[in-house]
Parts: sequence; structure tokens; C-alpha cells
Amino acid sequence: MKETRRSFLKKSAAGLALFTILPRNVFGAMNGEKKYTAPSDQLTHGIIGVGGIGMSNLHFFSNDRCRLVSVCDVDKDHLDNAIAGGKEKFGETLKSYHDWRELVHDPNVDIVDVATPSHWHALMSIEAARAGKDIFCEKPMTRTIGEGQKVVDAVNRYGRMFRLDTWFRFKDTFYGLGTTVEPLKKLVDSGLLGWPLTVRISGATGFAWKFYWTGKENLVPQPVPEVLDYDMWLGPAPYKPYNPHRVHQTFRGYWDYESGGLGDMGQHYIDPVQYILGKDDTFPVKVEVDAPQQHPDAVGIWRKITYTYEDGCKIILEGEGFESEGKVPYIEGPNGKLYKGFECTIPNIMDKLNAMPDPEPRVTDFLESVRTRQKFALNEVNGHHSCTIVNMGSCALRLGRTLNFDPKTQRFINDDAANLLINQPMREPWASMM
Amino acid sequence: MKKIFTIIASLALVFSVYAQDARQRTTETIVADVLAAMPAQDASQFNEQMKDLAAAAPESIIKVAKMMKPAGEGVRNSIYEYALSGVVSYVTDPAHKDNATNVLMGLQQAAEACSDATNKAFLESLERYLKPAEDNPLIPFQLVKDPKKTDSVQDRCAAARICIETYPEAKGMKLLREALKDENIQYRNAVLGYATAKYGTETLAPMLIKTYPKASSGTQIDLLNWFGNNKIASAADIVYGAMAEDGDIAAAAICAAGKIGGEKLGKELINILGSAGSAKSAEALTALKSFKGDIQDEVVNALGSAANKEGLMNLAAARRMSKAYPAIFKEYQKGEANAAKYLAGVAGTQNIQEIGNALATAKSSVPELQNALYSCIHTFAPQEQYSRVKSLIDKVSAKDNFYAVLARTGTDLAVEDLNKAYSNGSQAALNGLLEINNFKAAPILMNIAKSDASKIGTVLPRYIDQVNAYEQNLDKKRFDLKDALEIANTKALKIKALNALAGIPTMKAFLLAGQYLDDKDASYAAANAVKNIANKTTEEINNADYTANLEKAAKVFSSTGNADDGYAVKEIETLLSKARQSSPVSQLTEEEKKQGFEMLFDGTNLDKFQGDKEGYTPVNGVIQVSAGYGSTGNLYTLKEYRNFVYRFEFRFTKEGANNGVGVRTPQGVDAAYHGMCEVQILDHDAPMYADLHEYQVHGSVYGVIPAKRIKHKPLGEWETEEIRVEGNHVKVTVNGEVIVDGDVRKACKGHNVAPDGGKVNPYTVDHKNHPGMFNKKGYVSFCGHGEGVELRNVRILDLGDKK
Repeated sequence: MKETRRSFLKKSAAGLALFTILPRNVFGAMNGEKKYTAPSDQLTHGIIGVGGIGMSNLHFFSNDRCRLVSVCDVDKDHLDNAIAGGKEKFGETLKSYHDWRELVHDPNVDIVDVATPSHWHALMSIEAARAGKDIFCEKPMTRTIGEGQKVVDAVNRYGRMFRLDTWFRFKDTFYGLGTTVEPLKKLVDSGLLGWPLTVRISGATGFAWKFYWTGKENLVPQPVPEVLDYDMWLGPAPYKPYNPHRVHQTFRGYWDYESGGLGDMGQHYIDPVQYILGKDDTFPVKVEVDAPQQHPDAVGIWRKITYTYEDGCKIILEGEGFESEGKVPYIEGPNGKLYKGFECTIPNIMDKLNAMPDPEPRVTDFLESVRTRQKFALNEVNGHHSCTIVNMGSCALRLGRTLNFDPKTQRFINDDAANLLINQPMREPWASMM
Repeated sequence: MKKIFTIIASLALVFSVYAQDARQRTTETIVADVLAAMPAQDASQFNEQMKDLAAAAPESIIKVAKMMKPAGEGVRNSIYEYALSGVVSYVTDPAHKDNATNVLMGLQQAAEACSDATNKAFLESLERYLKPAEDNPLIPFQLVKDPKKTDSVQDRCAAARICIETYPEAKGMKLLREALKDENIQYRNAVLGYATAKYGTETLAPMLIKTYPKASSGTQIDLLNWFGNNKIASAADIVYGAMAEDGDIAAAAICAAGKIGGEKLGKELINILGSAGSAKSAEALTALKSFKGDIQDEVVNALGSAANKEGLMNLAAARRMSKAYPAIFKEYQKGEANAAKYLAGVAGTQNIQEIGNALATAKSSVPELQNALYSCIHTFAPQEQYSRVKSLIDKVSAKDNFYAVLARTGTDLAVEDLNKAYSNGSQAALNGLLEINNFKAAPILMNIAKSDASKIGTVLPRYIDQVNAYEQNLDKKRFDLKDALEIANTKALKIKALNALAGIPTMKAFLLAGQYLDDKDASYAAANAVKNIANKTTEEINNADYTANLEKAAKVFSSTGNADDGYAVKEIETLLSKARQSSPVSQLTEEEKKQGFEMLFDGTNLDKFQGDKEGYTPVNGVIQVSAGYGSTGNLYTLKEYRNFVYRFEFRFTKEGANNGVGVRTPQGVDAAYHGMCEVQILDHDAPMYADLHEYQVHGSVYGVIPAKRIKHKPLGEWETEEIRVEGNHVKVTVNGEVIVDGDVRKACKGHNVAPDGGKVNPYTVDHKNHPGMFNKKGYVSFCGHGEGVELRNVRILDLGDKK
């Protein structure tokens, strides 16, 4: 067999050890500069799902540090589009797959990008871990709490690196706050606001819930387009007659695949709050919902979702059109409030925060994480925690009642039906892959 | 309000008697009531409906499930799906589990009888929640016995995890020691993670510290990362030593030192930061920015002699080390590059004069010194900030360098000063006027724009922002934006002004925005504004301009072909249909006035009614009904009537909505039986009412005289009705068509109650007793049966005793 770079890497751990004696700044993202990378250091990735987000430059990129080598989709139009894009943008002939399992087991792929609807995320992540790949997974991390537990276990079991794709806990202006989360973290850590804290995620504090991502009832069955393998699109989800509103851009409106605006934006909004509140190793103990009755298939709207932690901290989500009136604080504690745009009731707050040490540095470059095997800032563990908050909300919405949660066992307390939503049935052959 | 289905057929009779609830309703009625309330709007409504549905299980479940049709054009299964999934949620609540078994039984029977695959799958999916909890078991991963006997790193990891989990500690530690010698970085770190989870950091630390010196450089990096992540203070010496190395080892050590903290590592980090610039000093800066503890004195000391002052100044500024001010100012005076930039981070009130002097004469680094000066005064109240800057300005002749700082005070006096300076030709003062957060600057900016067209592009955006941020009076704000729109000479400016206009929820703003719907540059922004204002305004909106503008806006949105704009078109359609439905105040016609009709509800208030005024509320010219079924959910006339003509308009806003007109009824009873009669109001076109009896359809004298079954107008459209009652005669006219014209006494051959005194009356068409049928007088009422009906233009002609 010809000794390719990849087979060399796979066989010989020395190949990996080799990196460690190179100067770190060859591959480190220091000062944001792009450095020359020797071909032997180049990582590779493949994307499953090249529809919306999979075609964005978050996933669809190829450069010196990480080359795009393959793509997969069950819609032939998407796949053709991606292949053309690979030629045009990167001059690459991308290998293309219809069945994602083939991409996951492709020995030329180091990192698997999971950019499908979320009912696939867990299965693909677990299989990728089993195949020895590192994983860059779209948010929301998983569609159920149980799937999240299994992803955490598989990533750990197979010694993989995992990055979830939301980023506000470590970079970019955090919606209405007008800052990154670091000053928020420092403010909370300073104790100046007192304890416990209430965080309000609402249009009034700069966070829109995208209620137009609801489902439609009484869908009329339609013929499946020739280019789409609908059965493979559904995968583990229950079979339901095809209607274009179920798939592609509008799939979020159906509980079988996601949970509307809550699923789409929830982890973006809630994950940084877990970090800010220092709750990355725990979960709320209670979720209350105020909402019209939810349809069993089509996701509807809600007025308010309230999460309470054991120590009394709360996260309150206010639905679109049901925001609190007047001036609404984003974070509220017994000794102070913080509003949109980092307006704070504590005088000269920025001076006080600047004088404090910054939060501990984290690994915020996934390729560095892949090379050094240090956990990425938003990994399977804290990702599972924040995604569970989203999923607790959808469980409570679907059942229309308050649920109590045990953070230790990750089960709902005294509610069998709610616990049945922790692991939901999957169709074969997928169920056996979990 | 009445019992919709009452089947008098052999078994069904036994059944319905058995299934009757506290309100004496049959299963059919319970089902109809629940379906009419689907989906429930809140928890209390949900619990009320589901309690009833669950109590009538399994029959209620089977009945609802039977109503489901195979999905297709025009098929609307969703209310049944709401009801069935709702009742399952309800009985799985530990607080409401009484009827869970019956609900399950109903679902199982219904699923068995269901021939449509999709509906059957739905029913079966619900059964799962009612079967004894049986979670999906975790399928065990395949075990790999010996981590050394496989090539794939992930399988070696999986095997190692099992070993660590199951081995005794000594054996597990041995596996870890071996793993740390492995050449695969993935395997080393994975095993280190498993061992940490199993044994804890305290147990592992001494062993790892001992391992470090003999480890390969790759493993040393892993260990340094581990010492840092777990804050192992006892590894400080190792970390200290490793910081002196190069490359990745040093980088890992520096990162670990920042996390571990302590005096020794802190000093060394500062030492590295102050050494001649290298990759290491950048790492040290990051570590020191998050270093816990007070390091100010060490940093200040190091600044005196360090080779690399830039890094130390950066750190001092980032962490607001005011003690570093003299050293950094000295560097500035010496001409050290970038020193001015860091002054803002360390300067305080005591440095105003020194920085002011520097700024007065500065030829370079002016913005940096302006920042530093503002930093000195920013903790003062605005007036004090102003007077501090003012006293500096007054002493110098070249004042331009100070205007940016003056602007940052945001005071009225600063606006005046800047305006004066601008009039005297200072460009820096104009920049100040553009920067200042003070609404008094806005009219000045507008004047500049009006007097010098070449400045429009510079000042108008800021003017619009100021108006948008500060003007509270909505009319004034609209005038200001109108001014802006009139002189806006670019596409971007028009869009900016229209976006601001979109925030004014008044009809005048709406009409102003509407004027730009045909503007090729701004039509999209205008459409957005029109839509947003229409959504938010609380003003009276029903006029031709309103609909015309919205229709035009919809066209703008639909022409883009963008998916999100499709939602905008839908939003506008909703607004338009609301506008078409909203009603003006009603008046009697000339003819009605002549005949002596009295207006009971003209759109304004319910003063001429009594009873359930919570369930019947006047909103936008109509009576909205939300009253529940029963003896309390009724709205009565103030006085009693004998013979009369009752006219009103009604519409259904929800499929299957139900109400009725009670005739000659006492208060607080069921008018259909204890009044003379009840004339049904019902959206009988809803699929769930397909099998209704003629004596239950809209307009029927309920249970007594059948009506001709009309086809209602579409949901949301108004229909007219007249009920004429004279003696025993009832005549009902809907939309101009007579659908009932009969005599109640004749209809039951004089037997309004069963001659044998029993419950079954063979003479009435519903086989029930109607004891109130021969009442001579009584109130006229609306009889509540849930929401979804609206009424308006209610008037009555009292015919008194005359026949």
C-alpha cells in the first residue's frame, strides 16, 4: 500500500507527536495572523448537510490549516451546489456522499462538521466519535436530553474533541448587551449585583425569539421531490407524509426535528448565561411554562418560560409579543441591575470591572484544541448542559406543565411522561446505532 | 348553549346517561365542547377541558379519534390532535392520573379501528406515554479487552476507559503511567481525563509531578496543561522551570502559571512580559490579564527597568493600575511609541492638569490624549466634567484639541460652546457637534444641513440618530424626520430616516411613510415602516388610506422574493383582514326608528344588558363572547318582554363556535328548557358538527322546531339575524332567508313535558321536557357556550301584548 500522509498519521502516533516540537505559533491563532502551514500539519474536514448553515463560511471553508475534502447531503441539489462551490471557491474537487456514514468513515477526514437538522446531531456525532473523528456540531446540540447524555459519553469514551457551534460565551457582541460576555462574567463574579440573580432573555433586553419559526397544522401530503431522499432526511424521526414545510429552511417548526425559535436561538442565548452564572456543571431544578396548548406535531408560540436553579437564580424567557413593559433589566440581583447596552445601576462599573482580573483564558480555536487535545471553550459537556435547558423547555411546553428536574440524575422528578421525553423513540436502523 | 348531540337510540341512550357529567352533558356534548375550545389558550382552560375529556374516556377518546380523516386538502385534523395529545398530557400529570387507564383503553381501541396509517401512527405514538414507564435502554458499547491490541486510537481510548473504571487503583495508575509514555497525544490525554475523573486531582498530582521530569516533551506539555487546568499549586516549581524553555513547552507553562497563580509564578510572568519582545511575552500578557491577585507593585517596579515596556504598559492599562501612571507618562514624554494609548487606562482625577497641558501642545497622539483626559474626568457629574475641561480650554489659544473632550461631557453648555466655535470656523468643533450625546445639537445640525448641501451627508445621519434617540413627543419626532426626509439626498439617508419613522406608532407617521412606497430608493424601508406602524398603532385605523398603503407595502415585499419577506406579506394580510372586520358604531335605520326599535348595543357599551359582563365584552364596536356554558354565562336584557322582534349581527371567529338567543327566560337557568325556548347560534359548518340533527342547527328552536340548514359565510364575516316572537309563534330569518317559521305549542302537540311525568317526552323532537315553553314573558338573552362568537348592532322592537 502506498504510504499516504493520512495512513502515516493514522498508523503512527509519532506523526502527532511531531507537531508538539514545532513552534506553537506555526498553528496557533496568535494575534489572528494566518501563518504558513506545512502540508503535513494540515487538518481536513468534511461537512454533513450542505443546505443552509452547512454552506455558510462557518463550515464551508478550506484553508492552509484545515482543508475541506468531502461533503454529504440527501438532497441532490444541495450536493451539486456544494460540489460546484468547492471548485469555484477553493479549487477543490470535493468527494461527495449521499450516506453520511460513508463520510464519517472516510479515512481522509479528521473533523466531521455536523450541519444537519438537529434530529440527526446525536447519531452523527456518536458515530463520528466511534470512527475516531473530532466533531464540529451545529446548535442546538441535540434534540433530546438523552441524546445529549450519549454524545457526552461517546466523545469521552473515544477520546475525541468536540466543538458546538455557538460562540457567544467566548467571542462577539452578545446580542442586546453590546459587549462580549467577558464583562458580564466579571460583573457576576464580582458579586456586586448580589445573589441570586435573575436573567431575562427577552425582546426587551435585546433577544428576539423568532416566533415565525412555528409549524403548520393540517399539512397536506405531497409527492417527494425526485432530488430528495426523504426517508434518509427523516432518518431516526418518525415517518410522516412529506410536505415541503417539514424540511430544509422550515423544519424547525416541528417537534420531531427541533423546537422552533426556542430550539434555534435558545442555545445561542442560554449557553452564555450558564457561563456567566457559573452554572456549567449543573442544571436548573424547575421549568415553568406559560403558553397556549402545543400541537403534538407543529411547534407553537409561548408567552414565558421560567427556569429556576437550586440556589434561586432564574432564567426567564419572554416570548415575542409578550415582553415585560418599561425598562427591563437583563440581569437583576438584590444589589443592582444591568440593562441592554451594559447600562448598570452600579456607578462607574467598567472601571471596577477593568481593575479585576479577566476570566480564565479558554481554548477558542478548535484546530488548536484538536491538536493539543485540550477541551474547546464550548464542548460536549457544557454544550450538553445548556442544550438540556433548551430541551427542558420543550418538554414542559409539549406537556403544558411545570417540570422538576434532578441535576444529579438528569431526570425529571415524579413525572413519567416527562421522562419519556428524555429519550424519544428512533426508527431503525438508527436506534441501534445510539 | 345547548347539548349538541342527543341520540335517542337503544344502546346509545343507556350509554349517554351513563356518561353524563356533573353538568348533565352527554359524551357527545363534552367532546363538542372540548373541541370547540381547542387549542386551549392557557393552563386553566386546558385543565378544565381535559378534565372533562378524560372523565368521559374511553368513549370520548374513541369519538374524537373517529372524527380524524386521512390528511388531504381541506382536512383539518388539528383540533382532534390537540384534544388527544392534550388529554394524554393531562392524565400523565401525576396530579391528574385518575382516568389514565381509560384514556389508554380509548386510544388502543381507536388505533385498532383506525384504517389511515398516519392517524393510526399518531394514536399509537400517544399510547407510549400511558404505558408503564419503559425508557429506551442504552445500547452497550462493544467492549475492547486490551487497549494495546488495537490500532485505532479511539478504540484504545474506549478500552482504557473501561479498564480505569474497573481496575483496582494500583492497576489503574499503572495503566495511566504507561499511557503517559504512549506516543499518541490523543490517547495520553484521553487516559489522563479518565484517571482524573476516577481518582481526582489530589491523588494524581504527586504521581504526575514525579512523572514529569522523565516524560517526553509532548507528555510534558500535556502535564503542564493538566497542572494549569486543575490549578495544582504543588506543581509551581515544575511550571516555573518550564517557563524558561522555548516553544510549546514554555507556552503551556506560561498558560498554566496564569491559572495556578501565586507570587513566584506571578513575578516570573512579569519578568517574561518585560523581557525583549517574543512569542513568550505575548503569552505572558494573556496570562497576566487574568492573573488572580494584586500585581500592581511588581508591574510598576518592572516598568522602571524592563526591556519591553510596551507589554507592561498594556497590562497596566488593561487592569487599571493607577500607580503605573507616572512611569507611563514619563515614557510618553520620552517619545516611547504607544505610551499615549495606555495613559487612558491609568490616568485619574489627579492627572487632569498634566494631561491637559500635554494635550494643549500635542501635535501627535491627539485622540489618545483626549481619551486620557476624558478618563481623568469621567467619574465626575457632567457639569463638573464640563467645568474642568472649560477651565483648561480657557487657558490656551489652540483650543481645537479639546473639543472632542468637551463633546464627551454631553452638556448643554458644551453644545453652545461647540456651536460658537463652529461658527468661528473650527472643523474640530463640528466633529464635536457630531459626537455629542445631547439633543440640543440636533437643530444645529439641521441648520448646517439646510444651509450647506455639501454637509448633508456628514450631519444628517447623526441628526436622525439624535431625533430617534431623544425626541419623546411623537408628533415632533415625525416633523423632525419629515424635515430629514425632505433634504435626504441619498438612498441610505432616506432609508435611515424611514427606519426611524417606523418607530412612531401613529397614523400620521404611517401616512408619511406611505408617501415613500413608490420611491425607488426607499420603497422597501417605507414598506417596513408602514407594516411596523400598522402593527403597533392603537389609533383608529379603518380608512381607505390605511388599506391602500398596506396593499402597496405587501406588493413591495412580495416583489423581493425573499423568504422572510413572505412572512411580512402574511403579516400585512392579517392586518388587512382585521381592518376589514373592524366595525363602526351601529345606528338604527330610519325605518327602524319609525317602527320604534330600541338600540341595545350600538358598539360602545353594555349598559342595556345585565348578567355575565366578564364573558361578554365590548371591544372595537363588537361584543366579544368568552362566556362559558352554564347558568351563569348569559347576558340578559334589562327588562322582560312578551312579544318582540330581536335583530342582531353575528360572526364566528373560530371554527365550531356556539351561542344562542334565550327567549322569555328567567335569569340563571337553561333557556332551552326553562325559558320559552332558545334559538341556536352555531357554526354548524365545522366538520365536528357534520352529523348534527336539524333541531340543533343554527337558527333551530333548540330541540323543538328544526331549522333549514344554511351554509354560513366564511369565518370572520358578518351575518344578519332577526327573531320574531309572537304568542307561540317563532320566526327566524338569517341573511334575509326565513329558516324557521313555526308554533312551539303545535310542534309538541301541546305536550311541553312528558304526560307520564318521566324524563323522556315522546312529543318533543329531542324527547326532552321543556317546562318553560309556555312562559308568557321573560328576558331575552345571549346564552354562553365558549368563545369564538362576536355580536353587534343588537336592537329590539317591543311588541308588548299585541298579537
